Amino acid sequence: MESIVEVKNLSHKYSVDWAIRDINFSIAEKGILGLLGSNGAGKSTTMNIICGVLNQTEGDVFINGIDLRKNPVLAKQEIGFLPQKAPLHTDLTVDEYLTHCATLRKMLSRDVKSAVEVAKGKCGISHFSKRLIKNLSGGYQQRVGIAQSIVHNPKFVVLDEPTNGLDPNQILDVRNLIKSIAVDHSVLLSTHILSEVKATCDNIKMIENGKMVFAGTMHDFDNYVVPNSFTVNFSNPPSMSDLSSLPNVLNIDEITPNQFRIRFSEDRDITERLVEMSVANNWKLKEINLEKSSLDTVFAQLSGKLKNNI
Amino acid sequence: MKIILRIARTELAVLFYSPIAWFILIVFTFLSAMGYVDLITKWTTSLELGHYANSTISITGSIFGGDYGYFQEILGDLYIYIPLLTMGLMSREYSSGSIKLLLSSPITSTEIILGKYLATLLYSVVLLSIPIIGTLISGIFIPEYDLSMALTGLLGLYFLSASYCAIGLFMSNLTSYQVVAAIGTLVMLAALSFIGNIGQEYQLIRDITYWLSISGRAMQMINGLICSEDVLYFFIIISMFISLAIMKLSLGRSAISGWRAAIRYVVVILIPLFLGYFTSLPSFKVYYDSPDSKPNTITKNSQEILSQLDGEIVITHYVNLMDRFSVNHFPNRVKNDEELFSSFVRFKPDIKLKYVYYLGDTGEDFSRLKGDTFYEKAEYLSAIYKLNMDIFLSPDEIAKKIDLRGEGNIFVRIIEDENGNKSYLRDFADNIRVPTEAEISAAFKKLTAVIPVVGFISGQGERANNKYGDRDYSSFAQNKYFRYALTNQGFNVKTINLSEVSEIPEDINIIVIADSKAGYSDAKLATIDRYIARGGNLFILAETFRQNSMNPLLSRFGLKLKDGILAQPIGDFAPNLILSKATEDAGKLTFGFAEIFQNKSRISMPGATAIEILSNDNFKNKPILVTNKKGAWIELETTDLIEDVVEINPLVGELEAEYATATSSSRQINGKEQRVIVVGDADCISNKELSISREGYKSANYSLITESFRWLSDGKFPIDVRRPEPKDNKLNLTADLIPHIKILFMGIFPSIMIFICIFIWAKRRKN
Repeated sequence: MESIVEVKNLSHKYSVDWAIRDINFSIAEKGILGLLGSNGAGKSTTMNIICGVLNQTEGDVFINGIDLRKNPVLAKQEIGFLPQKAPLHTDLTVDEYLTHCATLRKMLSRDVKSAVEVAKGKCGISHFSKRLIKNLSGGYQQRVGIAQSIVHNPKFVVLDEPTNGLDPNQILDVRNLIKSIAVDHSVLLSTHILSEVKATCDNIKMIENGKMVFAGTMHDFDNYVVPNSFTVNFSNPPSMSDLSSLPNVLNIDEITPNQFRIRFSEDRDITERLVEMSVANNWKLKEINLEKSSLDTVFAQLSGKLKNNI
Repeated sequence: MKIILRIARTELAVLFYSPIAWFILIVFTFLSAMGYVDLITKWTTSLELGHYANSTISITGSIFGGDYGYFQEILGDLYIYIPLLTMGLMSREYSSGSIKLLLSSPITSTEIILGKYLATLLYSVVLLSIPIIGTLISGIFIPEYDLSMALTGLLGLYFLSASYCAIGLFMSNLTSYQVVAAIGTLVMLAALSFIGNIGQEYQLIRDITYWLSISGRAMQMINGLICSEDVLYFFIIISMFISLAIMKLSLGRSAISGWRAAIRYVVVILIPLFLGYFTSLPSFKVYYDSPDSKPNTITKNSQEILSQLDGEIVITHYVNLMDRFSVNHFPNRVKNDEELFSSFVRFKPDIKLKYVYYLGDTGEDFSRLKGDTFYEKAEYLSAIYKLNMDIFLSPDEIAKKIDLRGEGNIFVRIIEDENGNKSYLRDFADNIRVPTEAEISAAFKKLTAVIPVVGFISGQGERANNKYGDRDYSSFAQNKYFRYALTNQGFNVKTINLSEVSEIPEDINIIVIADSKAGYSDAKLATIDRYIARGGNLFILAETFRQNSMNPLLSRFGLKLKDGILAQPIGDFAPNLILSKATEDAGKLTFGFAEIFQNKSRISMPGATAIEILSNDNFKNKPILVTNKKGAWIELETTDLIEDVVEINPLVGELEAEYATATSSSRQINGKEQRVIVVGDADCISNKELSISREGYKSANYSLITESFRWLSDGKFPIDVRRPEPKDNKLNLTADLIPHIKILFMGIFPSIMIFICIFIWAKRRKN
């Protein structure tokens, strides 16, 4: 597949510490790439560099084959960027602001008006054209932010934590909006919320401590870290010692007299054995619920791997 | 370029959609309107009251120029308002995060900064709308309005506000806090004003810091003079801060190392300093004096004098640590001296200033200073003035270089050309202190011209040119610290004792014979006669009771002192204080006499004798100073006009008439005009009379000296530094029109702005 963005050996340091080190990836022409990482992992640094807001210490970024460092003006024409905090001029109306953004992106004057209309239409803010941005709700302000990132119809759209601070309904709206944008554009979406990645992204890159620790599809990611706990509910609960006799069980918490959380070491067959034992011993298993790894766990695990690798 | 315009347009839109810009605009408009109306009112009142009725002031210059003019007032306000305007330019982008929109857009840092800067330049035009309107419409009520001068001032004002904007933009680019940006701009402006005082003791630092100083930078333009140095200064300063802002924006997101960034900043700062140094070199400067009367340019006469000078001219300042006058010429004040000569350097760039610092006894009482010896006292003084004692030559060392005892070791400049010709230029003990164009030009002219030598005849009880008594003439003759002294106006002064010489030396062009008590022997008269015969000029001052001693001499010119004392009781003054006025004939001698005649100034003569013009074939005699026609007579009954009753008594021959108190005599001889002035009173130019100030009349005793010697030296000295009279010396306004102007400027203009502001606010509020 053609790639719209190529990031090669990207490294950046603030004063003496490396914020990111040797990041390599490429982004396909369509679809959504999730850039995952905990706070301070280097997500924003990477995005700022890709969008030309920050100049990297080492490495190269190519947008549509154009070296961002050598020819920033040309390269940036294909970028739409929504930073973590939407770069809005709240004293302007939606139309005024989007027109300003379109002109900043060097659109031809005659194209600006229709481009603004299209962007508004896509983001569902056409009915707020004359509204001052400061009078819009947070969710709509975020839509204006997204609209500015696509107003010039760039090939590549970068959204830095676009659902931050929105209520659940707004989050759903924005996610759907992002998905619709991804039909025509390549979207790089950064977040630290795993569920957001799951809900929207096709591919995932994960950065931790400035290094790329994971790159793959959503499916790969789901299976990358094996779940390590489950909860069980019995009508006729066994004793704790019975349960701990299961192989690979690390510890057991009693949640209620009938319900337990069992932590285990890496063993994909443990649930099968538990079901078998329940039937054999008449524990009357009512419910078994595999607890998937929390993002923290994944981070912890990936970080751990990172450290081990170092 | 297009994108710069677009950024500027949005920036302006953002500015005008925010209340702060309107608030600044409305307040500034009102204040600047008030300033304009105040000045117009002030000048209308002054002119209606008849002040300046005979003066030749430029109304345009008076309203707009000068330290107290309109533009200077506006300039002081800009200092406060521009930082408020520029504070948000970039810091708003940083704090709101919208900077990322700019940085991720396909535009360069240069386009961003220039776009923002262009917006401030356009806003400044709106901000200065009242000064602009004032400049453009003042011609309606100022006849012969000097539009070019007002426009030059306006340009200066605009350049300065453009510089403030560039500095404000740079400071706004340093922080995301608008308040910090505003305060930072104020601090930067203060620093740029103050920097002109730093390191003034050291030549190179002085040249740089003085050039960098923004304080007073627009002043020359406000006064109508465009100098390339000032214009380039504004362009360089603006470029420097704009470049710094662009660099900050580019380097702020770049990964180049700290010291490499530092080097770039240093280069961007050093290049302007380098350019500034060159643009301030005299030979690189170009000038345009916009007002019609060219008030910022030395007169044609002075220019002519400079054009006569060949090669380099060195002005050596002899600065004595122990002399009070010298304080103004210590190493930290050199720039003041450079400014003093700058208008001359404009026409002769190879004028160099040099300094010799030394220690010399001025005869002053130094007991107030700590220390036992002269040297210890000097050390004490140098410590107080924070001066390096090593720069001062000891008395012995300076003595080997030059003998300054004649100057009393008081501050003096010695001007020297390449041929070794020298002349002295001093500071004076008056309010102005420094020499003006007349004295400086006279000193320059002395280098090349044949200098008129004035010989004061002595030996018969005449007034002495070198004594400080009340009746003596040291003040006007050769008091070094008196501006109008002959020696400071271009003449050389000598004393001629007729008992010691049988001939008046050949180099003497004018002799002064003042109040001869004893009269002249035949031999001495013969000496004077030979001088008269060779065509020499004379300035003769008679006195009461000198008829016998002086009439023999005066008879040579067909003149005679009348018997008796003149009386002319006026107001509270003693009857023998004759307040003489100039005649129309006097006005034909020199322009200065003409001014005395036109201005109805008076020459005060405490005790004067009337001069009678006898018929003679030799000299053309004309009265140049006379008494009033009415109320003046020759008192014959008494000689004590203070104690006795002084009344006119026709019975004893006391006649009320216009009596001549001074005459001019001239004749053609030896191919030139011989000129003689006779004054019926010797006190009128004495040390005492020159220091007296009386109420009730305009005194012109100084002018009697300068104009008499101007005529006697055939116009060579003193230097005529008159300028063409400004034509815009009237204001076609009356007090009853002022309220209309007030309503227009302070009411309508601000109201229009308030209306637009409310309109925009109301319209957008609905959205």
